Amino acid sequence: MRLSADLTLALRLPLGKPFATAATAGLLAGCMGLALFTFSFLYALLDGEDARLNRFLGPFQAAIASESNNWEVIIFIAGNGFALLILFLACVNVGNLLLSDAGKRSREMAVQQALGATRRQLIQQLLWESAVVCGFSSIPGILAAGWALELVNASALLYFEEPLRLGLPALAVFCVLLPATVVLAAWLPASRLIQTDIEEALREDAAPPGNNRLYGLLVSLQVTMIVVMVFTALVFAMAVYRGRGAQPHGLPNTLVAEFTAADPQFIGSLYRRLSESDAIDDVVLRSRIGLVTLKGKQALVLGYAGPLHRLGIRLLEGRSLGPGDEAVVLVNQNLAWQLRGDKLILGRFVNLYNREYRVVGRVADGDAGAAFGVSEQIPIAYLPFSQAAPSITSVVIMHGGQEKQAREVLARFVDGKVPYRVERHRDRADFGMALTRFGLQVLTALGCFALLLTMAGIYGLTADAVKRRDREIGLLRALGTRDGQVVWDIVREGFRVMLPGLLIGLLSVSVIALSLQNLLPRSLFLFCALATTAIVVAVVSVATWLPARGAVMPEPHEALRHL
Amino acid sequence: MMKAMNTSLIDMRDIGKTYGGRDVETRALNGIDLRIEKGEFVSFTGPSGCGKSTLLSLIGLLASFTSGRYRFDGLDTAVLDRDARARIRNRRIGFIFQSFNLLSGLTAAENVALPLHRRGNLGPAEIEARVETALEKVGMSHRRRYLPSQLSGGQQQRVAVARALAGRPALVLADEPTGNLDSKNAKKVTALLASLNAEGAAVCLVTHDAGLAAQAPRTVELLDGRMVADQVNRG
Repeated sequence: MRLSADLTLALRLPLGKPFATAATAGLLAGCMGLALFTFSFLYALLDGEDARLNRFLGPFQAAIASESNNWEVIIFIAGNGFALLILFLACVNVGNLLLSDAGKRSREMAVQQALGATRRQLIQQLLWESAVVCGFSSIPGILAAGWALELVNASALLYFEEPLRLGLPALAVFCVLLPATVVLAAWLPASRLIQTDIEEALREDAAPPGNNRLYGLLVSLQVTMIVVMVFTALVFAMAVYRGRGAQPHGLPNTLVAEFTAADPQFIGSLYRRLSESDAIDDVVLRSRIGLVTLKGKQALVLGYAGPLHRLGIRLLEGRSLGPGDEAVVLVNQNLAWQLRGDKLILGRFVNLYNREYRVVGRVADGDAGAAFGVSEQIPIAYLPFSQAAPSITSVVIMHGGQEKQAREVLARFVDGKVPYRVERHRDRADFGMALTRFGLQVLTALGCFALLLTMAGIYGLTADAVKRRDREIGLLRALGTRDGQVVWDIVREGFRVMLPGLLIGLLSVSVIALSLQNLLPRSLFLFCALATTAIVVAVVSVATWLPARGAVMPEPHEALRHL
Repeated sequence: MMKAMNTSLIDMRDIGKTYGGRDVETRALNGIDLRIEKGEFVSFTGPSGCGKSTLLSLIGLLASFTSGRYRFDGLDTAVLDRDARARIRNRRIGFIFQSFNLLSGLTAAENVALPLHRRGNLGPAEIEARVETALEKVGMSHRRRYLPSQLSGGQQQRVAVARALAGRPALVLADEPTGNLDSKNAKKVTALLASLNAEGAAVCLVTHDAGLAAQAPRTVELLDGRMVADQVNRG
């Protein structure tokens, strides 16, 4: 069959069911837009200096193998995974919608087969139909994604160095997603319609075609996906709520003064004077020295002076750095793992900038880094501040509640000699983590959306399966079966079909739980698994109860009339 | 696939068709021996459930038989795969159904053109010419841009006849073609079938209507899945 004829059919046939076509196009546009927005937004989260560092380090090692979590990478992977799963769920729903009048469609296909269409030609036609719907839907999808990114740019809540936009990476993703969506959306109708028994479908009283195995497979697949997504979203939400990982420890009664390209001697003098001031409890200096490659991966080198534990970074073994220290280094847990695995790190030498430094202590991965614009959960080597070259230096001032006085003391000591900027540590931490938190909220929202799509998908599949049984149900009711019993039978069947998906989903989440084990205590993982099961069971209950209820609404004689 | 010389168009030997699964089987056709020559006009009659439509489906390669042998124009149909059957239906057989079975999203002309497009070896100009000729023959060229929903039952069936004859088939299978029509339209459709036959196509007509069946030169009667009569009609 020529392309033009296929295209004509593809354009004409959906017009016969405008509601289903509009709903299909709307759903696809929304999901395509969501996928592109999610990708662009999360890609921008990655697109900072730290993110480049993270990518060099290998996201999985940082996020999974060590005790820390590289949130940007986790969110990027999980968010895009969610968006893809949502697109898949949308395709299943689109397939359902394309089959909204399965009996009629089946007859159309049977007529075409009777007239000599081969299966290849019918599949080609279904692909064209799908391509028309997906192609037209993708235009508003792209526009919606672009507008949503503009909205984020316009909002004052989030700050990106460069405005968000649909760049080449997003367009590349679109070029992969569109054909995949076309094929996926055509798959369900094709699997249902091409196998149609022509003789049966052409009968006047033909029942809509069905495939119970396919129904079971699709329900199970959707349940598996939604278990994984809901569980992951719950774990992330709990992690945020509990203040671990994504919620930085904004230190109370702490100011951060940032000096750009200040003379180290001036900073050293300032540090001594601040330390001696009565209005100030403690002072920590912190300076970014640079990046080094250790064992093929990059690590961040920071210079510091002062009590590191005041930044929430605990000393795990060895000693801290003190005045007069040279050629010694502290490593964080992440770097220790990278260099030596679980072997002893103390006393070993690390080559930094062509100089050997002896490891004198191992510290925990901190949570305070967001206030300094870096993640402290990546490999870090801490050198004595005296090794730092002139660069951006943060002077962290703990003031015991006397913020105004501390600011005055700082201003007096600096005396206008160098420019600086001072902020509360908590505000900086909040600002630093705003994007990550927003990314997590996007994940949670995606999980909720996926839940709705799954409910719609299972509802559509169940409604279709129930419709095929309407004569049988009518007969059962005519013979005296109570409506409640009929409803219960349908819901029970839905649960029977759902069960394999639930079990596979729970097995999958146990793997996810192992990967993210340092995010939450075990008891909370168990809680998340139970809550996920409850949510999914509730969704399946509603999605199967509604069509079951609809099946017993008409009088029995209406169904029997067709017997 | 070898094709014998001077073969019958339809040559069925001891054909049986059984429906059902492992537990319950229903025998729809049993021991059917039937030969139909090229250009013949045969009507099939019998009570509901006697197997007329099933036999027509087997003849039209829409379903497979479960026993016996069936040669279509000398080709052993048992060895044909689904696509080969589809090609024969497309090029050699025209179908006319009781419920018209026009695609609701396509116009009358597009419905007629559909099997021609599926053929794959006809150019747009030839398809257009064949569609125009077919619609003219059935008196529907003035309604060529109408959708099926905008046509009466009789008009729809005439479009369906045009669809069957546009492919210039060797065999036309008509399953209760007048079943959903009033007497005036039924006469028109019957006349069209006769003209198709006059042009050389063999016609197999399934009908409940004894008067209509009697118009065919030959009538086959079925009962309980068996052929109980095969008679030549006089006059």
